[in-house]
Amino acid sequence: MSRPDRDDPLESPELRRLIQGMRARQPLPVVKVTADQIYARWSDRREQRRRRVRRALAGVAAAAVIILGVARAERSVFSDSTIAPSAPARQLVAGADAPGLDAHAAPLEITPQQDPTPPAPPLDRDIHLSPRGPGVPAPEVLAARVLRLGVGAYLIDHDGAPLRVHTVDGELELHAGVYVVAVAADRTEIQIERGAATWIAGGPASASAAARPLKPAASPAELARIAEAHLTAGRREQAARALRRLLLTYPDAEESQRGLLDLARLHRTLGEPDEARCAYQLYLDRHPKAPLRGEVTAALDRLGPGPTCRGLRPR
Amino acid sequence: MASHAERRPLAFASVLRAAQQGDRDAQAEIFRAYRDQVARQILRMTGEPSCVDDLLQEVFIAALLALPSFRGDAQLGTWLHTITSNKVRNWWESSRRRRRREDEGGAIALTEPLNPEDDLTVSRGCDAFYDALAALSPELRDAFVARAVEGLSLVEASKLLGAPISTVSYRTRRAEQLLCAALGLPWPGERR
Repeated sequence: MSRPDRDDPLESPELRRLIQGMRARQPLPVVKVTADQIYARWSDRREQRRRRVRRALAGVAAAAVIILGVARAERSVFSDSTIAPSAPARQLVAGADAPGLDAHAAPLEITPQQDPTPPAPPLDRDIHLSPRGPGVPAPEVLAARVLRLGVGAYLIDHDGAPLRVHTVDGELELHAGVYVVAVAADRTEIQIERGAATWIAGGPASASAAARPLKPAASPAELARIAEAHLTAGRREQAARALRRLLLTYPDAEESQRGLLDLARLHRTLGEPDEARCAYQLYLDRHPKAPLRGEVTAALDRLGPGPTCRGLRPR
Repeated sequence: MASHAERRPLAFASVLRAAQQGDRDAQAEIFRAYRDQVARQILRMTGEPSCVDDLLQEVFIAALLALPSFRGDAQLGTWLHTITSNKVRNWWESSRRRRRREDEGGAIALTEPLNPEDDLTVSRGCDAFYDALAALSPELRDAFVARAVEGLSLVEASKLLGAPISTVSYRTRRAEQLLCAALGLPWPGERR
């Protein structure tokens, strides 16, 4: 049987004839859509997309704080280190393992300052400090562990000796932890992701306002529900974050046992075998007599060898 | 696949740049330049005139949204061809379409010999063909449509479908075999 064209994929002459006949007789479709309609719908979609991007960007800062907090908490949980409150404090502002920052006081009206800070001695290396938002001035470094903050919000993350921070209200001591310090023209507010903060000089006019506790830690069941809701909605990254919070905040809770397996599965789905392996490994370490031990071991075998784990993180 | 627009590359490059920056007139010009090409491709691939407008809109909106990232590695016509193929693939997969096809009872074998000169036969054959095509698995259908309906070369189809050439070739042949069976056409292998 000869084929009319070297690149003709068809072997059946009847089928070839049918397709050729269809092609030959298929009329030019009548297009009713206009360029204006396309433009209008494109504009709508573009606007929707921009809104989504704006929302995502707004969430990035908060997410960064949470992720940093989780990473820090993880380090402390799995290295058995504890956060030791330091020296006597004149006024304890707050201290918590609060998982979220969103239920804080009314937002401050912050007017970013433009004046640059002069070169300063370097901060100790364990201190990570970043201004949040555009136009927030860099902090003035007075000594290796002493800072002066301008007007604006700052994310501060350190795990060494207490850090002293000068603000409009006075001097603040931040123990090892993660904080967002928001300085307005007339007051300072502190969001504590982890750690403890103490006013050692001055302090806010309204102590009760500054000492207002952060959002109470969600219960294990709540965190499990949040993770479940994210999973159901297909928001895997958020689900993984909620599960990590559950596991780090309540390592001994009943929900955490199932959460570890959920997290391992999530990491596998997300194409992160090393993280999945760590979650499975942690499950075996924490629950040596769990009935699912066999399945978990089999899952680990399927994942194959990988880097060693430090808690939930591959080294 | 070269369009009128692409035969005037210099002028068109500036139109493309303007369209990438959101210029309404430039976008309209691109739409007018490629509208018929895309519409024909949709009709060839779906055999369903009623869906051309909807899919055409989807294709152009997706293209305009992605246009800022179009770097000109391929011709715009080729790029649109890929977008159209993906949209049509989604359309095939839509449950609405599948249900409708299932409700209609699937493919109908042709009862009379095919005669390309006979409008009625071709028309009935066309319906039966697209019904049979809808019953194929997505992988077989994609390969067959790309090769036999769209007329792409093996290399082009392989690139479009992201599958090795040998796989595309196998799937096309297997799809043809199944289509022949569904349409009651003799398969060449059986005649030998």
